[in-house]
Order: sequence, then C-alpha cells, then structure tokens
Amino acid sequence: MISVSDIKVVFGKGTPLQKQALNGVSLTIEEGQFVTVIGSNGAGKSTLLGVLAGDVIATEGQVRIGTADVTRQGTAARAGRVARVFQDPLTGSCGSLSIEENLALAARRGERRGLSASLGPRRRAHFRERIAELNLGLESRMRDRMDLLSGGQRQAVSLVMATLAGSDVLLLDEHTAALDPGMAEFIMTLTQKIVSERKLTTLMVTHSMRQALDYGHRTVMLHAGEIVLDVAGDSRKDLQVEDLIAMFRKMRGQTLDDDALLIG
Amino acid sequence: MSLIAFWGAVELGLVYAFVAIGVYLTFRVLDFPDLTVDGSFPLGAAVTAVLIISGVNPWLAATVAMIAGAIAGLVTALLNVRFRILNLLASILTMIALFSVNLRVMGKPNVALINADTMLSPFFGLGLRDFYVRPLFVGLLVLFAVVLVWRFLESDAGLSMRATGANARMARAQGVDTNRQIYLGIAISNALVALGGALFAQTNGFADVTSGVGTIVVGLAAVIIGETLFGARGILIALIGCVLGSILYRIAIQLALSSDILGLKASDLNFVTALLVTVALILPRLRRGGAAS
Amino acid sequence: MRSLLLAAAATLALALPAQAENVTVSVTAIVEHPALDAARDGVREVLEEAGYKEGENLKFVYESAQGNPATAAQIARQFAGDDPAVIVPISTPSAQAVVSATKDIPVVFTAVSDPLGAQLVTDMEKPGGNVTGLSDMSPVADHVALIKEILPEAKTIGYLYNSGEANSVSLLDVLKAEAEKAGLSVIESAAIKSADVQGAARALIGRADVMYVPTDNTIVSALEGVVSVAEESKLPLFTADTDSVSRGALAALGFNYKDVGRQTGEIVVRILKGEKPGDIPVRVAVGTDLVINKAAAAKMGVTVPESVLARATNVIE
Repeated sequence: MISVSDIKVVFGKGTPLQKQALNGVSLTIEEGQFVTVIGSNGAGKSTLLGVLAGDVIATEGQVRIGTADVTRQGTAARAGRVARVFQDPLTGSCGSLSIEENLALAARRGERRGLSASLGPRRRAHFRERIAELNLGLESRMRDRMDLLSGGQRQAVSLVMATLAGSDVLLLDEHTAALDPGMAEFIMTLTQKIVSERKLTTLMVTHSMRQALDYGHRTVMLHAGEIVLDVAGDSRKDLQVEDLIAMFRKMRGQTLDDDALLIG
Repeated sequence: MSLIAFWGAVELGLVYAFVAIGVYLTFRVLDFPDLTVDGSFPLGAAVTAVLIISGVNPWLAATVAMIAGAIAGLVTALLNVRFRILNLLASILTMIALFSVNLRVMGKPNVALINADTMLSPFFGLGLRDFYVRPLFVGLLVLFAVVLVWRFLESDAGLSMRATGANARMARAQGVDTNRQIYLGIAISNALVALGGALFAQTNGFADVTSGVGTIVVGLAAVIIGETLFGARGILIALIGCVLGSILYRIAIQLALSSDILGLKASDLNFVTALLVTVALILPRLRRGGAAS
Repeated sequence: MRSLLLAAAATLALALPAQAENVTVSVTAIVEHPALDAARDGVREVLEEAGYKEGENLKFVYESAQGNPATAAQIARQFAGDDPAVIVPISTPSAQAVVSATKDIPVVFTAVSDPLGAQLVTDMEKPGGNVTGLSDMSPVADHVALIKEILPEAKTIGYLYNSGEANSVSLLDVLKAEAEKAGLSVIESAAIKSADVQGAARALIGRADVMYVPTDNTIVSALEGVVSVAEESKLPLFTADTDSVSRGALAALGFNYKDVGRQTGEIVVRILKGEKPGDIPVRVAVGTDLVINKAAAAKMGVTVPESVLARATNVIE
C-alpha cells in the first residue's frame, strides 16, 4: 500500500529558478492495485515517482509505503520496500557487471550484504531459471557483461531484478519509452504478467495514453503539480484515448492563457 | 641484467603491487580518482619506521601503518562525501596535509631502519640468499592480499562496492548505501598502499618523506600495464594483472638502468610513465564514448 | 695530523699508477644537482689522477634517481648485482638504499650530513663491515662566527629551510646549539616548495637580524626571491652554499663540492689499492671556501670588515 498526503515539492527554494514541482498531491494506492500515471512534461510525474523512490525528499507532506513512514528516508534506506525499473535501460543495471552479478545485487535489495560469495551454485541455478522464463535465450549468457545486451533485453532483465527480492511497491518509470515498438510491447506484456502473477502494488508513469488506459486498474493525470484526473472502474472503461487528448489540449490551452496573462 | 638486479626489480614491483591493488580499488572499482596514495605510502613507511625504532614488533608496526593509511583514506572520503568537495581535490588536500603529518610522525624527514629488526629478519640466513628472501616474502604477502581482495569483491558486500563505482544511482535503488561504500573502499585502498610503504621501509632500510612523490602514477601505470596485457576478464585476472603490471614496470626501469639498448635513461622514465597513465585515463572514456554512440 | 696522513696516503696513491686491470666504480645520487654533480666529478678526477682512466682500465657508471627513493632502491640493486669494485652513493637516501642492498661490496658514501643518524655506520672511527665515507656536516660553528664578525650587533638568526629535507632539519639542531654558545637566538621559517620560499623569507622581516640559508635544495633553487627580500628590508643574507653568493647572497662559507668529491675519490682509491672499508674511519670533509659579494653587502646595508675580505677565497665586487 502507498499513501502520500498533501505532498509539496519545491526545487531551488529561494533562488530565481524556484519551481513548485508538486503542489499538494494526495494519493492512496491499495494493496495490489496497478495505477498508471500520465501528464505532460513538467506536470510532476517524475517528481512524484522520485518522492516515492526516495530520490526526492518532499518539502511538505507525508509518504507511507506499506506500514512505514518513509518521508525522510533516502533511496537506499527504503530500497527494501521499493522495486524500480528506470526509463533508461543503462540506469537500471550495471553495464560493467555480468547479468548474474546484476541479479545477485538485486536479490539482496534491502538486506544486509555480508562477505559470503555473491554467486554460489544454488543462486546461479535460481537466476538462470528466472532468466530462462523470459524466453530471450539469455540463460546461456549469464556471465556476459550487461552492456552487451540490447536495450529491450536489459529492461527485461531489470524487470526480473525488480522481483527477485520482496517489495511493497513496484515503480515503473516510463520503462518502455526508450524501446522500439515491438520491444515495448514485449516488455509491457511481461510487466502485466509479472504484476498480476505477483499481485504487486504498482505505479507506472507513462507517456503513452494507450498504455495508461490499457494496463492497470486506475489512471491518474497530473498537471502543474496537481492531480487533475483520477479514474478507476467503469468510468475508466468508458474513457477513450481521444478523451485524454482532449483533456490534455484543454490543460495546455489553460497554461497558454495563463502565460498570456502573465506576459500581458 | 644481473640476477640480483632482476630480483630487486621483482621485489620492488611486489612492494608496489599493494599500491597497484589500492589504485585499482579506487580508480577502477569505485571510479574515484584518489591521489591520497602519494601521502599514505610515505605515511605507512613513516609509521612503521618510527614504531620499529621504538621497539614495537615489526608485524604490529605494519598493522598500525595500515590503520593509519585507512584513516587517511577516510579523511579523503569524508571531505568528498560529507563536505561535497570534488573527489580529486579532496584527495589532493589530504595528500598535501599528509606531507606535514609524515614529518610530524617521523620528527625529521628521514628515519633509518638499516640496523633494526624487521618482518624479514627471521628469514635471512636460513640458507636462501637475501635477494631471494625479500621478493619471496613480499610475494607471499601480495598473494594473500590478492586472494582476500578477490574474495571480497566477489562477495555480496564487494558487489555493492563495485555497483557503487559502476552505477551509483542503480546501487542506491538496490539499497546500497553508496556513501558508506566510498568510505570503505578508500579506507581499504589506502590501508593497502600504506602496507606497501611499510614494506618499502622494511626492505630498503629507511623511510623518507619524499618517497611518496609519484606513487599514484606508478600505481596507475601498473594497473594499465596489467589491463593491456590481460584485458578485462574478471576480478581475479585484473588483480593478477595489477601485480604483474607493477613487476613489469619495475623490470622496464631496471632495463633502462642496465642497458643503453633501448636508448632510454632513467630520466626518460617519467615521460614514459606519464604517457602510459595518460592512455590509462583516456582509454575508458573512449570506450564509454564508443558504447554510448 | 690525520688529514696530513690522509694527504700522504693520497700522494702515495698518486705516485703509484694502477695496473692495467679493469675496475668498475658505480656512482649514484638521489638527484641531479650542481653540488652533487661536482662531487661526482671530483671522484672521477681523482680516479683519473690515480691512473684509472675511463675507457681504458676504468668503467665509471653514474645513475641519478631523479629525486625518487624507489628508483634509488632499484639503482642500489642494480649496482649490487653488477658487483663493481666500489659503490659511491651521494646523499642520504641513496646511501641508505645502497647500504641495505649489499653487505659485501665496498661502499664509500659522500655528501651525507649525519652518517650515524642515517645508520650507514655505527662507529665513525672504526666503521667495520663494507661501508665508509665522508660526511659533509656543514661547518655551522664557523658560520655563526662569521655572522658575528660581520654583524657584531646581530641578536637573532633567521633560519630559512625546507622542513622536508633531512640535512636541513639536522642542521637546525646544530645551529641552535652553536648560536646559543655565541649568545645568539634562532628563529626558523620553513618552506616546503620553491613557490613558498619568498613568503618564508618575508616572514623573517622584523623578527630576525640576519637570514641564514643552509645547503637546502629547495631554498637554494629559489634564492633570487630570498635575495630580493634581503635587499628590500636590509636583512643580510648568509648561505652555506658558495654558488649562492654570485646570485646575490652577502657571504657564504661552504664546501667546495668538487673538493668533497676529491676527498671521497681518495678513499675510493685506497680501497681499490686493497684497503678494507671497515678500517677507514668516516671523516668530515675539510676545506671550505669563503665567498663575499661586496655589491650585495652594500644593498643590504652592510660593510664587510677588511679582516674578512682579506681571508676570503673569492670576493665579488
């Protein structure tokens, strides 16, 4: 379960570049719910994800993940509760480490790391099994460096990494945006499978309105640091991509008007 | 090249292998250009020499030297992590400060150990000539260090250190406290370098405050020679590469000293070393550039 | 008396040209430096005069460690392996490296201030073993006397040095002792690199009556900055390095390193003739030059007494 209440984030406070990235966002995601988040550039999607992951510490408000208040915890401290797949395949894994080393690293997410060998025979077998499930033929390349893989292959491995250790929430940060359409489709199918099999509480930020409506149980739209749309159930089923686009246009028009006022 | 000169080069190469392994940990594993070593090498020599002179057991003296080196490393890490000073600058600050510290530790710029009992003393006169005993002894210590560092880097704890250097953002997302890894890595690195300094003092009979000049360059050169010869094929190979790179570097100097065949003089080696290290610094950037395009 | 004996032995050596057998003499210095190079050349000169000619019956090997103790250690092993007739290490770190590299090849060190402190020998009179040599302990007592003679009113000597140079630090203790005997006090000002030298000199303005620079590589390399401070603030500058006088110091009383090298060479010749290094006492080099710069003295507001000028080896007008 995720619960954020009245989150405000201000970047560069007191400088000429001061920016209110989130302006009082409250959002509760129930156990096992899959929420998609859309919004134009600068709407605050990435900031919201950062607040959940720990990269961004909220200026005001409270963040709860599972049963714990993590508002002040950094990324590493709350990593045991948060699994994450990044937009850039290069960010989510270590290019200079092998596939199995990346998996070993992820398998201990949020745990104490001791001096025992990171790759024993049992772990190796387990990792190979999990990678084999991808049907990408990577199980024979477990010792290859991660940077020898294509972007799509890396994202697929990243998804496996996200599920090796337990977590209260899975954060997906436009994780198909950098991929070609075919690979994006594959990754989304895989995501769907993993999320439903494991009943993961998931928040997915996406650029694609198609994805936002086709996947998950609930869709949230952000604009100018605030939630402007929050639909689930039947009202969401009726929603079409065209409706979302229309809403976007309207929002953008508003901003233009605002800008015009400012300039005038 | 005579037998004594050859084994002398091997011995010095093995002493500096500790520096090479230390530099590998910072430059390659942590991606943290750490120049502290120019200060922690003579620090190790100074601490061990002063303690031995005052009657402390040489093994204990070397251990204390390692602790002193680790503390020097922690200072650099503190400046970088806690006070956000650029890594290179932070290490230069510590290095400069260590010059004064080393003078304080020794009380003078040069402490002699020629007549003192060292870690090696019990092994002289057992039938093997001195110029074999020294490299053999230091070689065993190097072997021990290589195995320990190798096992560490392949453990869960070591993996998180490697991830910190390779992709800090990802490491944090996996729950790795990257700041702690920087503290730990730089402390281990400088402890090894200080041990190198301690062994230098014990095998050559003196600790001199000037003996740190260019340590980083020698260490980097050794790492590069190793990488060039063996390529990037895993931790153990890389560590062995550091050791052999360090030995080969010393043999190259010895060749330059013992013959005019290459047309090289000892005075040319600074240039050759600088060239090697420049290549070392440029090469990964070129590779990264190639991968990104 | 002893130096007379020494001179006699040397003359004897000169009188008897060596046989045509080939000998190797290996020389190493920690760094290339005018004084150290002069010492090396002095050794070579004496060997030649004794009948050891390079290219004929003498192989004269010279290596500089480029200021790096690790390289000094390698050079020492190189020489130990080459097994020359005599090894001549110039300066303390080079000597320590050579002495720990060999226990049987004769070693004649030179330009080492404190051979006991450097543990090169345990007894100056009877060194034993394979090591002997020549100390270039600066004649500090003579320096203090010279300062008192030229500037009778001076109370405080400002000692300008690099606290990282072994010789300069051991000389400081000697200077303090000698100055106290003469009723003077010493204040020190350290610079650890050439860029700091002028600042260290300025730090003495108003606190010292004269500036005194030992044979310190760092200070001597940046002497011009010290000279300008000396002239601006009328702070007379004395040095232990005679070459510094032509660069603007008031006066220097110091070793002529060519002579130091020659005295070292004489010991080398004795060993080549069959004497054991362990039987040759370690001596302090003899023979200092007094050099005065009258123009510099005028700029620093000092008139040098005639008595001093009269016994100077060299007076620069």
